[in-house]
Amino acid sequence: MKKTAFFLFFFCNLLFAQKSTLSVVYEETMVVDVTKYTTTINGFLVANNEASLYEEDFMKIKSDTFDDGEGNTSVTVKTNRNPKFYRTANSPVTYLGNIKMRDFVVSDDAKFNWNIAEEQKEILGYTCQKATAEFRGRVYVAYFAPKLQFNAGPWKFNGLPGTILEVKSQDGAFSMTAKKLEVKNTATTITNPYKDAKIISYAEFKNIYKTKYEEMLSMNYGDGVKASMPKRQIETMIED
Amino acid sequence: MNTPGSKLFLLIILLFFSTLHAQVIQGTVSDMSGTVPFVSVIFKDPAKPGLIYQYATTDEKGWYEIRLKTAIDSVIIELDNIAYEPQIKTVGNLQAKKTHTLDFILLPRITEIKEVVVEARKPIRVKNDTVTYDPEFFKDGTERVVEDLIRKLPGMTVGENGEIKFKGKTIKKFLLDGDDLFDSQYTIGSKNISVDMVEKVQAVENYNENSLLKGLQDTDDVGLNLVLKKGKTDFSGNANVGYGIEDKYDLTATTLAVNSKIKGFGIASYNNIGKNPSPYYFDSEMLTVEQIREDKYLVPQLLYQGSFYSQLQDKFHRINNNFYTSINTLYKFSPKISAKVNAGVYADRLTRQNRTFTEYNIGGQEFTITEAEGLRKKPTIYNGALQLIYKVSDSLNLEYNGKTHYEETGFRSHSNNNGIAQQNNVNTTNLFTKHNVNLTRRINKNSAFTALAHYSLNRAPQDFLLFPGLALEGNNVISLQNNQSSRFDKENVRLNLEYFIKHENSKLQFTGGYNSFKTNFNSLLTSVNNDGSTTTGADYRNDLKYNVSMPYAGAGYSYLKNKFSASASLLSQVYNFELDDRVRQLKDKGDDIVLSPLIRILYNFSNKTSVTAGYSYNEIMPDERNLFRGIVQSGYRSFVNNEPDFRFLKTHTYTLDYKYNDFFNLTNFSVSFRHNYRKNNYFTRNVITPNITVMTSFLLETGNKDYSLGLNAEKHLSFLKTTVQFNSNYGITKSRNIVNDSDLRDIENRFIYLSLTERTGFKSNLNFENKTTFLLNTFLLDNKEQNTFRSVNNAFKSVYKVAENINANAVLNFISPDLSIGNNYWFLDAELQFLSKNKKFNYSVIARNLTNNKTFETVNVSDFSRSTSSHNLLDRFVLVSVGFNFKD
Repeated sequence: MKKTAFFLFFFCNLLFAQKSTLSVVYEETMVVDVTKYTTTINGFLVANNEASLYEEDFMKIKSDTFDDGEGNTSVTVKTNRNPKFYRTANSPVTYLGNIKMRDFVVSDDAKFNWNIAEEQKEILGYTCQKATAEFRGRVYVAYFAPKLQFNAGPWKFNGLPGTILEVKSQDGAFSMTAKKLEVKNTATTITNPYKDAKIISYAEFKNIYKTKYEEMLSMNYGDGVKASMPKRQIETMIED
Repeated sequence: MNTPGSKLFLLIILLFFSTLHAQVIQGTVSDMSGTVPFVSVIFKDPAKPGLIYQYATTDEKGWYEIRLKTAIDSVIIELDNIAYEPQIKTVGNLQAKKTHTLDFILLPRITEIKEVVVEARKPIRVKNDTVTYDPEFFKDGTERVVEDLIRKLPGMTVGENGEIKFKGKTIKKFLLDGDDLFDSQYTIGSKNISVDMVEKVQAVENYNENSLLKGLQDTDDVGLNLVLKKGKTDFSGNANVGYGIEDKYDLTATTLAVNSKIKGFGIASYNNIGKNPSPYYFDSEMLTVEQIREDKYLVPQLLYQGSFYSQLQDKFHRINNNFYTSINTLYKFSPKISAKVNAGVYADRLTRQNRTFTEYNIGGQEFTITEAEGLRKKPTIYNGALQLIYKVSDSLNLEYNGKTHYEETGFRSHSNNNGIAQQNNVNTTNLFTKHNVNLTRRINKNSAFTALAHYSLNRAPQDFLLFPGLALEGNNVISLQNNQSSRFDKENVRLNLEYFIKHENSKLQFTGGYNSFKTNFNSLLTSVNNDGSTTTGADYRNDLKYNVSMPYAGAGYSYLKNKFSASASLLSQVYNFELDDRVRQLKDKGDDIVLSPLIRILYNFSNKTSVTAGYSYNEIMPDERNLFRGIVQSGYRSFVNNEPDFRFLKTHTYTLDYKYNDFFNLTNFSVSFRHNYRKNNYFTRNVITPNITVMTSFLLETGNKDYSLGLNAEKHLSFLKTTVQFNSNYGITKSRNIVNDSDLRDIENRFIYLSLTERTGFKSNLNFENKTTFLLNTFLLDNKEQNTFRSVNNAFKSVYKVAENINANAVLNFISPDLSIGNNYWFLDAELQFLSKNKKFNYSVIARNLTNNKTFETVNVSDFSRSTSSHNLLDRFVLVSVGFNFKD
């Protein structure tokens, strides 16, 4: 009898374990510090029990529907240079960073020290709890859904016991809100898009940025024309 | 105790207390195969079980450890992970020891996680060529059928004949979940499908009904798709029974069946409260969507069958006895084969009392005509259509479309024409049948080929008996009776071949084919004189055979790159025509080559703003209604004939459009300019006497021109929670005519139409809608102003949501048909709706024309007359109705 029960468990394990997939579409908005120009794009998160992948659709090549019912909509496929953020449980996030038009694959620990608050609000029908954290120069307020047991979030955000459905920086510069969500009981393989790339650490990335920043400062285009790079993007890149 | 020492003491106590009681909870999480790393462990305060109090994550060895923030008595620990069955443990008596060790052994998840799809709701989404509306954002609760909803969607309009337009373009198809169930009779769907069955409304631009031509043809067409609500069942419907005082009925039953194999919509209805759920209009000259599309295959009906026109909305004046039933079914035998069957029966009895008083001023001669008429019209229609689609392969498609329409109309009236009382009987039968076979072959990604064979036949014999009649000869005004028969037959055969090819940004289309029309017209007018003799003659007879055959070939080119698109086409047709007037022994024969060029340029400044400019030149061959010489008595006082001419009508058309559509901010704005220049045109010679009117049309090589400028804007003002819609049109038409003995007179008509609508969307229970329209019409004769009239309408609607399931609304209409005479009308309508808790039953009380207007009077002006017309209205009534919604 015990054997049968064990067998059943084992069997069920094969059948159901780690089969669920979460897909979320976020609306991501960034306001550039200097120009105050607002960019709004769609962000696509896919997660299962093992890994998550977040893609920022700057190239506008993805449809914001999960299954494109109309079928064969002929879209000219541009080369997919969308930044993607890949992570497995508690490991650093691997993503595509860019300095002066050059791409770098960066491995970033991105640890968030979340403070859980008691406030709750509903997003897409899920009760979400508030959490705040300071991260590299900005204070973020996040809302996560404990009922969605995928420990995932948009961009580098992670580390809350539930999926992060909304994050806003307190200064209003950066925000992400889920506008569509799907949980499916089918397995999805999420692979690291940068697994064959040369990887540098976030500290190295920041160093390269600093070098380039100083290079720019000392660069003179003649007639006193100078250019510069911002000290802060979403994250503070140059500490004062 | 308020000393520094005491404060320090307190602090020490607090510190001591908290260190003493700051419990640590720790343990290992494992499953059958060992420890489980990186899972969340959630801690909750039993007093607030809905909130996460603190959380920890297991490390590589499955170990977790947490120091509670404050001292609490007990804690709930939860492990909830997609791979494992959730576990909840409550640990009490925490104060007993400092460290609690609690291990978890997780079992693989057996219960499946609930699948969900949720989406933040937005009023409008735009994706590629598709605009999707969420109805919930636009409803005010008074909508019953789809058409009521569509009227409120930004960018969409519904014409009086039910024609739906999106961004000013007529929709080509009306689809239910992607399937075309109604074809051009789509008003069956838009006027009868309950708004509650619709989940979303989508407008698809650049729509191509032939999916194999997708990407090869720039269609400029719009398809409208209703995404239906997906219930647990696929069979739904409603039944409505209404009874009103006095003797008013409104009965309707509809069913909608939707599953992967069958899609069907059926309706059966009867009413005598002025509603018309059918796609036919026998109460106006208005063409239905179907007639507009089939116009070139249809023959005219020359004999008058009553004027039921009114400036008012149909619900006030349509005195009917309308029975309509229709079944529309689409069956998919397999993914390759599908069949669609439509069948409908319509019967009506329309009545009306008309009075007209006309003052004529023709070349200084003044006289008046008084007319009165009691009308009754009984149309019956049987309609059937069949479509078969066979998708032979992914690249080959075969389609058959056939329909047959049979109609019988009996018209009776008692007329009084300047003191002559007469009885009019007109019987009309109308048979129309049409068959199409269409083959499409996609050769490869960049080219395709289509072939079409078309056959249609229309036959519409009419008989008119008038007694007493009007004497055709001699000194007597009246005769015993007049008999007029009139019959047109028209047959069309067409073969059409098209080849499409695409190369990078360019698309090319080659067309070739053969078109043939065979038309016959027979008419005879006889008058039985008072002495029993009959008068007739060649002047009152027509026996005409008119055949046109035309091979044609053409090519079209379109170019699309980024923001710019241009298209040009040229069609050349070789006309061979033959007219045999057997009464007058006249034979005409001829041929002509006609070149019709078309150019269209579009520039998109952004995805919101576009400018389109177009030019086309067209020559239209003479139509059967302009070719008969013999006089036809078309009504109790009217006669028509022609001076036939074989010259083609030459028209230059210029268009310029500016469009701005910002669906995100709910702002639409468009300006359009149209100019038609006809090098020649048909003109009318009117002979008007107190007893008769004879209209002879003839062609003159002198043109007429018209200009129109339209401006439409719609904006949602979010701070007022109000949508404002503005429509305006300014037009000038320059034409000519001859009245009695006059020379050719220059006539100019100028009109201005202005309309302003405000619609509130307050969150409160009370909402308003107001629409004001203003019309100014001026006629100039030889550049001197002759006649001007102005009219104003205002409709004010208020909707009050008494409770979640109770709605009340009232509409007050103010109508001033002519501001100069101050003859104003007020109409008040009210409605109360109650929906049962289970949403299965709805009850309503409808009160119409509470102000009890009996007749309605309007003024019409032309360049030589001013007439005052009045007609009766539907009596005031109160109707109580019960509706039942069912889902299988």
